[in-house]
Amino acid sequence: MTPTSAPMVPLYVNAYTLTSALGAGNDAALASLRAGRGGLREVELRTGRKTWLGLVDDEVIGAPLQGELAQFDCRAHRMLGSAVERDGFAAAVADARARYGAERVGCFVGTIASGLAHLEACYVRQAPCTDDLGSDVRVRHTAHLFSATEYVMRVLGIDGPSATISTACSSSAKVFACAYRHIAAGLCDAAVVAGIDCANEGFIYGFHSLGLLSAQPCRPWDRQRDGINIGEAAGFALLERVPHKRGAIALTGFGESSDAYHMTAPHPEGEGARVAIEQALRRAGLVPGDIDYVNLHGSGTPSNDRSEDAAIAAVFGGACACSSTKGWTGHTQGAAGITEAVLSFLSMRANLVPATLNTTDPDPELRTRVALENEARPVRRVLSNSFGFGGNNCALVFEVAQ
Amino acid sequence: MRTLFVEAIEVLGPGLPNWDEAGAALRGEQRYASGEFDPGEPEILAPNERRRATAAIRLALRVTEQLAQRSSLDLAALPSVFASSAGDLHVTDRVCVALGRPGVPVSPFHFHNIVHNASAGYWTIGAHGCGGSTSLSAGEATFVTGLLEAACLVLAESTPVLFVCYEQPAPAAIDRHLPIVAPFATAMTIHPERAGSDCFAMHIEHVPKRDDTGMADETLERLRSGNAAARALPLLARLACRSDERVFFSTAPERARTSVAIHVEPA
Repeated sequence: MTPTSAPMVPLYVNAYTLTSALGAGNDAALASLRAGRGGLREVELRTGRKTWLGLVDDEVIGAPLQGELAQFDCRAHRMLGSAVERDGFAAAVADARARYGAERVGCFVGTIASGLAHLEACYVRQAPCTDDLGSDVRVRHTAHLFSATEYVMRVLGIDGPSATISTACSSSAKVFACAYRHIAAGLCDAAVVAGIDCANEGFIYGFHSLGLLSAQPCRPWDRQRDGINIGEAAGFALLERVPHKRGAIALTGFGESSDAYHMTAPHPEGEGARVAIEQALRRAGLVPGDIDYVNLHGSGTPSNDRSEDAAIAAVFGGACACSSTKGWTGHTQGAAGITEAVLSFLSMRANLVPATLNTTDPDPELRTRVALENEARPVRRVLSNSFGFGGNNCALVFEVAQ
Repeated sequence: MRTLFVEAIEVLGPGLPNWDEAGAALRGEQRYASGEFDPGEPEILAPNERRRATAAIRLALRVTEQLAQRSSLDLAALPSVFASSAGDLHVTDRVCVALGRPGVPVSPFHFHNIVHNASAGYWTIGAHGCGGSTSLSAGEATFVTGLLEAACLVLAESTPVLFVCYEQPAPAAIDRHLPIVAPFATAMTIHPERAGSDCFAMHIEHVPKRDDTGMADETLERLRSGNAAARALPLLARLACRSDERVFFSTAPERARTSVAIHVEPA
């Protein structure tokens, strides 16, 4: 039996915010995009090797968590706590809470690692005697995946259906689908969706072990591309059935699929990606030509970009404005879905297709043309792709509501 | 929520090797004895992957394979929800230990498996399942949260859904801070229509906060309260007893003011 993917009733994005290497909040991100100012910086690792990371500034992340939330203290949760206050997001959720009741506002946070950095630090501190990690380890409130969602709900005072969604680099794209399903089933009236991940050492050295970490600023789609840069970000969106203002952004489609191919390598012909994209378009009731801009997953590894190119070429035939924003923010991992959703919202707000930053020499073997410079053009409908380890794919369609 | 149907169900854990054999203990006809436990080797993994699969991956895949035997559906064709509270802490431990060693030798193999959706990934690869798959955690409420996501998916897609919930104890270093008493897994196919030979109708509703339903047997209760996936036990007991008495589950997070009430009846 195949899923129906029938056209869906849109959900409206009534508030959103992003904190990433492009700055604190939406205006900072848009100003960085307009100025062509990327967020990557060169960092020397403990092994002496160099890489580039998309770090969020410490002063943006904020102070250690205090009071009854102190047990949640870690870089990831501090970043969530400071980010959620920006762009009027927490206030918009408070309004939703007042409208629907705290137990009718759901919360779905996408992350790969939550506050893993806290546990990593305990292991490194105790090495080589890691049988005893010390008495101050707070696994349940930091590294545990659900702690990110629980912390956000405590901060926002919401109580509805909730889960941490953790499907690798598609995590915070999938949260939109989960929220849609819960609202459609009547389990809540609104949902906070979010994504969070930090530049954890386990992932930096892990990607290095797979030969996927670039020593250069990442160059998606470039002939010379040789891997990713890890980035960190916290992003949020509030989804409701009705828009609060004219010209609100709507989630009108999503598609989900599995490659069923390999744990860390994408399907060579981009089969899973194509299925997710087509499903998202079908749900949105759109044809490929309706899409003004595709925010590619575009991670910058040779095989990922080749696979995604095959999928995009199969669906769009090379006739759509595309770019990857990984060169601006780094690959924000479990937060990539929400990072690129918000960058897509900003693209619609500013009628701007962001450049594929750092890319100068597009791979002639790839059929999809990517924007090398910022392009001013009308952007009313966007497709945003997120693909992850385990072959987990998610594509989202957003539109400026009529 | 609209009535849904449990098409087939499986269980796997110490003293609960499969649904048929678990019945006597779940019905209270026989005293539950945990004993030694090995989930066995998943057949869908390639031989090199099988050798390297962690306990959590083996647990999740074995219970899914058992369900594939029992169900009349082709599980590979279904979208899936994989739920685990803590995921694979063995992998987390190995990666973190490497961070403290000279040269920071994180093993590529361990890193492959660090994502929460590793088990789901191996399932889709081994079974050639191309449907959407969601892996989630909701702490102590992981079982009922996963069940709700699966139920929402059934309603949204009008298709049966594979739901797998598993929880594997952590290595000693982490176990001290996040104790999980024993391995446990359950899997079921949830169907929008009446289907399957031992089909049950399942009614799910949100109610004001209630105490969780427990297990009468002390040892099973220790398993239920000490493993987030084993929170399923009272529901499984109702299915085994063909009882329509309601089961109450706390929702996430801990302070939530609602519970989920579920009752089942042979359909």
